Amino acid sequence: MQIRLYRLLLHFYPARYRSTFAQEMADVFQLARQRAWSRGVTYGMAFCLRELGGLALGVMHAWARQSDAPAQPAAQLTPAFDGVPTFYTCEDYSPRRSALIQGGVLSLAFFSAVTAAFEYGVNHRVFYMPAGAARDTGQSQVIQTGETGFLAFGKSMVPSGDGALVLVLGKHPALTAIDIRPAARNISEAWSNLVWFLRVRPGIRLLAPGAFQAAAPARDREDFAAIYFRAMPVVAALDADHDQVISASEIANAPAVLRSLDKNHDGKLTAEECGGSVPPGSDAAATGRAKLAFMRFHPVLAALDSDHDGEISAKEIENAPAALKTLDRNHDGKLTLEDILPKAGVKVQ
Amino acid sequence: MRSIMKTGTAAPLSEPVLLILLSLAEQPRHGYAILKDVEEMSDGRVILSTGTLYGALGRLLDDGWIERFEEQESSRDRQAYRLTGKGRAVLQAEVARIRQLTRLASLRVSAKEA
Repeated sequence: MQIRLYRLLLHFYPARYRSTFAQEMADVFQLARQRAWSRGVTYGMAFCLRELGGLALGVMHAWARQSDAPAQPAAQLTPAFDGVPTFYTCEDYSPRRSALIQGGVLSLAFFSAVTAAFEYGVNHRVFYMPAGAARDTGQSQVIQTGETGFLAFGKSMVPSGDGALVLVLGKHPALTAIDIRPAARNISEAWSNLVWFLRVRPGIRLLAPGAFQAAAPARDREDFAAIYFRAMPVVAALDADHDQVISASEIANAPAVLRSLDKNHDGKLTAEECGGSVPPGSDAAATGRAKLAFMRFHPVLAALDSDHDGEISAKEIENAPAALKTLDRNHDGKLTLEDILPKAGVKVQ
Repeated sequence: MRSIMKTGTAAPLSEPVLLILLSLAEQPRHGYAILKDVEEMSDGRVILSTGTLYGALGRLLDDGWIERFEEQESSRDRQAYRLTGKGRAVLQAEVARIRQLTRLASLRVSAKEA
């Protein structure tokens, strides 16, 4: 690494000097570097600093000596056609070839740096989809690799605009921010508006508003289902074979599965244990409202929390198979995406 | 350095240059050997960076005090440096100047002590 950097820095020397000494200097640097670092870290660091300083001074002296060299006489300009020369300079002598090469390299380096900066900016932009714009988007958007995006869910993303929509995804590898940030500055106001932004990893496709709804494009719905099944701990645990269907046997096994999610062993499941997260700084009332909304929004949780108190009690856990069967609208004995995925917003007061 | 030879006066050499010339006065050496020898001669006080060493070597080559040649014994194509007659003359002049200065300093210091 150091030798590569050193070789790179040697390009600051004038071409004539470089052609004479660059290889030798790199060899000597290599040997001296090994010797310095073999003596210890302090010697190694001192060596690096000394070499950097020496190189900077050396470059300045080399260029100063170069400028002392007598200028080349003006070259005979070759006419391109009709006696018009192809190259003019303000000086009475033509530039040295080394100067032209240096200028070319510097121009190329500058051009590359500017281009790289533009490319970096394009690939690392913070993709921000404001809530207002989300309503009009209506289409899936793809975040290219390297971008950071915000997936917005909120009141304005419900096509009907009727009531606020709470979609709090739990911990998921696709989400880089576990705590979901409110769009509004005022945390209480944010809670009441319930407009949220989820930060997603590069390469994650932004789903169209209402992707969870049956009418959404099939691709959005599939993607949403995949994320949903991994993000919601309760749903993920119930779907033991990961086929996005909670089968009859999985329904029967629900109490044991739910008990395994009871991290604090108090016999019940809270909203947090079910995958809900509360942004820091929320007041108690807002937190309570959000938890309640979370438990109501997700059909599986809403069914399990039969008394709608925002928690799945021990009794409700025992009664889980019966509660889950209430979601089975076509009575085929299993829960499919139509039964499991959220369908509409929940109005929160 | 160039002015020294033009005027013929023994303007003092910088310590790194003097040590490089002294190193080459003993025998021809390549860059890394000069670097180590200078450090040893000065008891670790003068540690040249690669940039400083080759800056000095470049000037000495331009002034004709040293010359560059390909080391025959080396398995690689390694360049080595040796003093020219001109360089040896400059070095001798500098050593004479230092010797004179040292003698003068000794006389003055001993006279003061007496």
